[in-house]
Amino acid sequence: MKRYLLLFGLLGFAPLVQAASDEAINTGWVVIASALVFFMQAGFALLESGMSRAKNAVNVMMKNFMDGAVGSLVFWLVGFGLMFGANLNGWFGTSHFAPHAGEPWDFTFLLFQMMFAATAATIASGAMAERTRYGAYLVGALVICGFIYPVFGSWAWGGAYGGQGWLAKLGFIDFAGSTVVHSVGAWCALAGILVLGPRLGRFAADGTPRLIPGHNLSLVTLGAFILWVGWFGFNAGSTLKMDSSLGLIALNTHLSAAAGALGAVLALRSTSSPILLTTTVNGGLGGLVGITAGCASMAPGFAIITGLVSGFVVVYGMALMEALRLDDVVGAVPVHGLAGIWGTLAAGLFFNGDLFDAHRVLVQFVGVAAAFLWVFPVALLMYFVLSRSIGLRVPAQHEQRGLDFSEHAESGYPEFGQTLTYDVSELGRRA
Amino acid sequence: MSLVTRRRAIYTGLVRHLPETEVMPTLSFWEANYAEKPSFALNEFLGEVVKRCSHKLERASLYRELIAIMNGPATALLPDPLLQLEAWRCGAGVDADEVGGPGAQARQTFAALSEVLFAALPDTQLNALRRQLGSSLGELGVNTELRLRVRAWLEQGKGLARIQLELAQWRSLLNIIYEGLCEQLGPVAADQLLSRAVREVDNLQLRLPPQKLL
Repeated sequence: MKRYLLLFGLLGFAPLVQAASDEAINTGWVVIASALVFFMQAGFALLESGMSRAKNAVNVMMKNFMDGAVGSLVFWLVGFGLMFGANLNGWFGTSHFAPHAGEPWDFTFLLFQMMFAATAATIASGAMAERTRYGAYLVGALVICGFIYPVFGSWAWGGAYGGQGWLAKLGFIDFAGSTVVHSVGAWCALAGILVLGPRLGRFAADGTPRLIPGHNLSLVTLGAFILWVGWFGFNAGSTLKMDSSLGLIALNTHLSAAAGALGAVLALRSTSSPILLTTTVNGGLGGLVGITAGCASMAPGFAIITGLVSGFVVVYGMALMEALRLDDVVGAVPVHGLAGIWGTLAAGLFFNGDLFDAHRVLVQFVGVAAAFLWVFPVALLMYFVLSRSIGLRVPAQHEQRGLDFSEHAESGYPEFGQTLTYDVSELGRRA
Repeated sequence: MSLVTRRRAIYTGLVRHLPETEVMPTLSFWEANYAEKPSFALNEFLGEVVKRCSHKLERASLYRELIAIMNGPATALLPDPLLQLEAWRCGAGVDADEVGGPGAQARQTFAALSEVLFAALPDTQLNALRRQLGSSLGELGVNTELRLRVRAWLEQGKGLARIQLELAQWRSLLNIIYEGLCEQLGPVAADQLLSRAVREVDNLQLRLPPQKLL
């Protein structure tokens, strides 16, 4: 009799044990995905540094390292509450600031979202490379992670602790953040480069663009591969649980990246431009950005189309930026902004079981427009205020010397320096 | 008081006490190191004169005399010795730069650097660069008279010896040229050209290495 009682007792606890086990597995998956997303910071650092001149390599690395650091802290302090706190008005969250106590899952969720915030902030770094004051850039990253990104995020993803964002109520689909993360970062970057102006001599007096080659294309390629790997965590981790949808999401992510690279090559073939590595890499990244919104809700064939078109969008977007005399060092605006727009619209166009629904696409368009209308003016104002207060652009002499020397008193390549644009002996005076 | 009047006053005072061969080097030294400084630096200058002069001089009386000359009527001053000064500089060469102190050494190095930089450009680009630089001199932060002299040097390629700048200002002027090169040639070519110029001038082993102007 006792045996039967024990058996019934265990059966009664089984669902609870299963639930506890599910939460542990989900936590494990999301923590691993968080680490993958954080590893993307390394990818961005390598990619952006490789696309910059050797005399600015340390500066680019430092910006990527520190925007992840300060961005994470400010997101914990205010960003998380603004984005995911109780969102009763639909416009911003009002609870869970500086979370210090909570359920285990709260911390897991916070960790994952913190990595997303850092990604949004670091996108501007590459676009504004080689002429931005380090301190001013970090202040900008703080404002992006603590205010600009979370406010928009609350519209699309908010309400984890009650309420719902107004865009989410409309049915806006952005599974992992083509718009919420990538376009937000890109519009900040666009505002930054508008306030900064181009690097010295980037455009001739008649507007002809001049190529300023990056110093290490191996770093660029390695950075792109790391980003590609990290993106599996970015997209598949956004399920926030270990379930059967992960395979499709990861497959779509991979297919779109591959198609993006191919799209860029085809687009380059359609122009007089040679097939450049940097542009091809950007095409692949454009494919990744493009699929981010709809990776969980479209079939693999449509993921390929999304990626392919993203590759074209990136190539022609980069040409457009040059025609407008906008100096985007790494192509962040076409890759994260324009491919982000396309990807968000594609998520509506190719929605599983409801293809080409005009209403859904309209909602997607509203989300894309809302992102631009919120982020761009606020970021423009922020960078303008920074430029008028502490200064956003370095003096011309610092551009000559390179920011590694003038901003950090370091040299990325002390033993292999080819150019003599600053007094190397001054480095010995750091101590 | 303009630089010309101050130079005339200093010349008038020095010529009464120094041997003829020492007047121009001393005047050049004053122009390089004290011409742009406030009047209270005159005493410091005279301390250097007493140390450098082959004759025994009494600083206090020299100081009183120079102050009196400076406060007196301009008609009592000797004519501006600029032409003699330039003639001496041309003849003295390196000596003139050495007597001029750090500012003159910087000028010597700057002259060598700018010569290499300008020589790398074809005439049309060089003319465009000179015009462009002429309009960027506000960044130098010097008085109008000095700015006009720099502009004249840029436009005509002559008169660098008459330009007295601090080391930091020579750096700024070189950076203005670098900016112009970026506009004319592009930043990559500008970096390469500047690096080449630094290497070439480094080989000359001037008293001030070219890296100090970067």
